Amino acid sequence: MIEVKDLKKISDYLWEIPKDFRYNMKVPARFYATQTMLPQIFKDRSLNQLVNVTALPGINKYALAMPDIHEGYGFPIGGVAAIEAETGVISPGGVGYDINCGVRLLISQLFYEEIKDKLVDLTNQIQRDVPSGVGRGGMLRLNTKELNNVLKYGARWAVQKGYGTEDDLNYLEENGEFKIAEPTLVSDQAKKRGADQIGTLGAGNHFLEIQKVTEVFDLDIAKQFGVEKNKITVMIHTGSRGLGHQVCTDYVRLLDRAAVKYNIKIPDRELACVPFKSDEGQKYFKAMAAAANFAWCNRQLIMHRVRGAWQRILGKQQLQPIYDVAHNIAKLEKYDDKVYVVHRKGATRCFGPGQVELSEKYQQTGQPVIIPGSMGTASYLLSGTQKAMVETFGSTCHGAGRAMSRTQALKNLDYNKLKQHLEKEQGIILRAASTKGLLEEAPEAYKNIDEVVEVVYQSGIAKKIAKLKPLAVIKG
Amino acid sequence: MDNQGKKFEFLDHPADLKVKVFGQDLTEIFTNAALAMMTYLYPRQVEIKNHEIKKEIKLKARDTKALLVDWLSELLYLSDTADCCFNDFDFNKLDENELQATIFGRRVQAKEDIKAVTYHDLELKQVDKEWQARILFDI
Repeated sequence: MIEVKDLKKISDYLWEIPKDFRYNMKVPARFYATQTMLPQIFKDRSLNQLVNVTALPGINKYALAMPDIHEGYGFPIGGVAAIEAETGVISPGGVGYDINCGVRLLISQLFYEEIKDKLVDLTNQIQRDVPSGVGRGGMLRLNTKELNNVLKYGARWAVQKGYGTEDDLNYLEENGEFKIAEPTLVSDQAKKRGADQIGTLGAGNHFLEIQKVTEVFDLDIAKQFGVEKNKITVMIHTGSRGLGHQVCTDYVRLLDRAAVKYNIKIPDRELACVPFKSDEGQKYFKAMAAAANFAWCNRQLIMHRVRGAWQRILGKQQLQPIYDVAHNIAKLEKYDDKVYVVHRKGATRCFGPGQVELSEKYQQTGQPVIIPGSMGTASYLLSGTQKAMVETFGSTCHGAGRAMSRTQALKNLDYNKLKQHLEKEQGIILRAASTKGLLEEAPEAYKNIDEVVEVVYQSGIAKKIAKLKPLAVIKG
Repeated sequence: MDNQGKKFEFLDHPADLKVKVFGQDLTEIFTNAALAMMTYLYPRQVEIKNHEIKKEIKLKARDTKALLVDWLSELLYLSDTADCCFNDFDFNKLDENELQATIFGRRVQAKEDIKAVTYHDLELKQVDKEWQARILFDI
């Protein structure tokens, strides 16, 4: 087990586990945290998982973890690894089962004062229009041909069908369409699992929030993003649903078998990997991209429904995406003229100004980075920085990160007290299908998001733009 | 070993669902692991038999751990797509890398969601004369 004495302090916000800590480390491991965050991090085995990542063939510089690090499977949550595409591997364990679980943030033209009397109606309408909850079927049931088009074209498919505008696509990571996607590499089982789930929020930590901008930290960039104090935003947090879960299941099985063929030794079987350039590696990459497209299309369809609800209650359609980011994904990116398969698992791309991947609107500012908080706490809007390009392969944190297990949350927290706290004391409108789900996702079960964001801000791997407070929370 | 006749127990985990499974032999381990998963998904329905659905499952894997993960993944897929709680399992064949089973269940809406069965921290071992498994589910 790793102990505090094994750490090398790089700065007040960055720690290193040196390469000689364990025999099979190919590079050191580094993670972002303050000294006071260390006891919480040492409570689980996330740092051991991070050390496991350093053993992956082709890993470059460091296995990295963000301050929202916590124990997962394979990679820790908050983990980032850049692996050389030419000679290294790809691992589904570095992406996870909820492929392209991510967040979309919408900005309205209205201020809190203008909608506060209609907030309950708006929340109820959104809850009626956006299916949520365990296994809840969606607004569309697609035949195989249409589902394949979703997997191929992602959010573009939705726009072509009238769910949104062409302009929306400019404000989505990858324009909501991972072009490498190959639907024929997604199994029939995965397609069956996802067929009626397109356009649904799901359960667990997924949610939809109506929020108010309570603080603006950088006026210039906030203006570019269309953000002003007291303006209303809507946040959508969901992923690729059962389809993505099955794609990962299928390919962990395939790669677990293939790893024997390539004689790759890994410290955790969940890190099953094959050379990126191999037949199996390419198949996983293209199937994973198809699942990512499903998720982008999913968030596009949900946004369309939210716009409809907004128009019905408030009379005007004024919601525009600021951005849409993936939290669980592997992508090809170039750093110092070399191409890497950048795995992000519970981490967000955080590209700085001038990156060709960003639309014209964000060339000067860097990309918007959306950090959802837990229910009842704040969320943040950040922007990408040049330092992140150099230090973290253009990556930053993805949320608060769990501090308490679901079991502990159920045991230690009281439903009525929590509901009272959120509704009466914080004035949040709550629409949660499950009592258990509400308790499991309580603010107390998460780390302090202000501290997490402060670490990435002070480290220079993201810039703080605005703070968003929830007014209404809809959960499955 | 003293598991007091327990079939399985849910263990604490920071974010996901960890289960320890007990059994006299592999058949009991595979059965009890499946019951643990179904108990999480359908807590109030798992003991009701009234079977209306019967399916055959045939699987081959490179070792018994992989077979256990594949078995649970297959059940999860069938349960997820058919809204079906499976709670009776007849193993026609079960050895270290192959199984053939008939499974029985009834249609019911799941109460909870499991994304997948993982290999992480997976354990399958004999302790004294009994078997134990530890499985982590992504939820």
